Amino acid sequence: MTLLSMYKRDDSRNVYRILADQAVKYIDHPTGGSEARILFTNLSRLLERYRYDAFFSHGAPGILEVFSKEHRAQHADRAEPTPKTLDVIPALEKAHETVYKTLSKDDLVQRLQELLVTLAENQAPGESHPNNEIKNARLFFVTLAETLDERRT
Amino acid sequence: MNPKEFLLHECRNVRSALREVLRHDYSAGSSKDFYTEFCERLDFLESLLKPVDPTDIRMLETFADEVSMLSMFVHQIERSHSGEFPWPFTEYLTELATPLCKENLTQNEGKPIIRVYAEGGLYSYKINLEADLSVLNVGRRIFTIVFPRTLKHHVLLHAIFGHEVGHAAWTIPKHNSDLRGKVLGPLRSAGPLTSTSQATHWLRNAEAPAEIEDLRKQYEAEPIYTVVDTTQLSYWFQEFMCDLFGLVTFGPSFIAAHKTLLLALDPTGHRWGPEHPPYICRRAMLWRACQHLGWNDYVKAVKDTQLRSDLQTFLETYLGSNAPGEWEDVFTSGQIATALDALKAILESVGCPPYALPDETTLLPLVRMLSDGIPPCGSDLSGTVKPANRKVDFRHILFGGWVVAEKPAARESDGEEDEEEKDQFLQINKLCELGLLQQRAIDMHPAGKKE
Repeated sequence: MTLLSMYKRDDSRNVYRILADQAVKYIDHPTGGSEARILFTNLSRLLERYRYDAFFSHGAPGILEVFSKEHRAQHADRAEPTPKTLDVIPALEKAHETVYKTLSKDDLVQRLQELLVTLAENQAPGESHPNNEIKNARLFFVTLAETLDERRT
Repeated sequence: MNPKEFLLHECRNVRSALREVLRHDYSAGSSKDFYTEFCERLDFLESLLKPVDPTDIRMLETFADEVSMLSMFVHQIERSHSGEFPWPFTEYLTELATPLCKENLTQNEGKPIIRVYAEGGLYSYKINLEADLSVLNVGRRIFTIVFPRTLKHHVLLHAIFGHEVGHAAWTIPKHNSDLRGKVLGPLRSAGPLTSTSQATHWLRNAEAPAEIEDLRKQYEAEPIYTVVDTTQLSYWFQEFMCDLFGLVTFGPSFIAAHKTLLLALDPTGHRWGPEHPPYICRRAMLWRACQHLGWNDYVKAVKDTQLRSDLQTFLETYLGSNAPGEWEDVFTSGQIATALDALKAILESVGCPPYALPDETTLLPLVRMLSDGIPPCGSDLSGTVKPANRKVDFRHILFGGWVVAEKPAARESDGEEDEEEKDQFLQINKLCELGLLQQRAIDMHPAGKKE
């Protein structure tokens, strides 16, 4: 293990807290541009994982890589997915439950993704989305950020 | 220089390295896309980093990971000299994988960016997926295809990438859900691997082959050799699923590459690990899958006697003519048929056509061209003024290559050539690589198409 790689950690809790915070700022002041596109693509990707319950923390090794002695040794040392990764799921569930109680996962994700696309394209969301929808989306990301923040240790 | 200042400094370093790298010829294709995506990621990262309080340690930790990741990516691209990997094959592979790797998050979403580089070591075959949940900063996902440098020309072995394409598809949530339910569901529904306790019992079964018992005794201090846990079982099923992916996307070439490469690294064929089941179980599953796909009937229907005999040799070499042994035969034909049909339907639904065996009029000319030392492809060699070149699926070329590689004549040499010329397997691979190159040209510029 190199000196720096020993510091590598699962940071999903912090990552999604930052992104959710940013989403609130962009909802308040939509600016579009590539930064907004990256932000909302990342959040859309997270929502897609939530919709399909497809959370996994790392990619699989190559088909032949598993036979290498080096890989076997690394695997023995590798930690299982940490609670930090798993923290993202209950935080999403809490935001879902708090804001969109009656909506299914599918409907929730579709609704939020449509709004994120509008924001990423720098269109004023008020023209295509009713005010309460924007307010709900904002509250969703506020709740997500706050829940992830509470779970910081 | 405090940590925040250093990270901003490193962002500038990454940007500078990016400009330097892309001034040179680092593989054809998506350099512009890569450059644009990367600049946008850097812009985003800097916009997040600049307002951060220099004492906010947690934020700085996160940003350190992100900058480091970007630096690693640029370095990988710097290493991807186009002379180090078979780019005609790569272009076909990219075409095959792209529809499966699209996320469909937005209507006007750009394609994923697929980059290539070569790595040392037989173990290198891989597609790096950018699948890490804790990544802050990904616009368009970058898939990096990694080839073993020394196997640059061995396009027949590259059919193993069919398995890796499965891992790539697994990271797309919609596909992941479909694959779990429709492909893994049937595989996990019955048999000795339905639970960890059953799998452990199966592993310790007195009916297991002697090699399994030997390995258990050899590694009895390591739990993975005596107990199958949930994570291990989950990895094993992902490997089974990806093997089916390889079969459905690359056909017979996958079976041949799979056996050649896996047995090269595990000559016993019985070794297992935390992330992979024994090869013999994988082969048993593929044997049943090929029965379901009707490969034996396909061979019987071939009219050309020599080709039929060559195909029989191929199947016997890479699948075996006998049914699998009882212990390693962990799935029933019904389970495999259901899983395989579902997988084909998933592929079709995203515009990634499953492999269909070629008709005889397509395969026979390819095999004959190879036997005559001509790169196999759809070139019209009749000498007419207006050649009628044909579109040929690149996977048929690989199939033809494997069929010829197994012919006894391909293994003989008269002893007068140099070492490389004597290596008939290498020569067939090189011919197939040239065939792919020519086929690529035919596909890009079909007869009659005006520029």
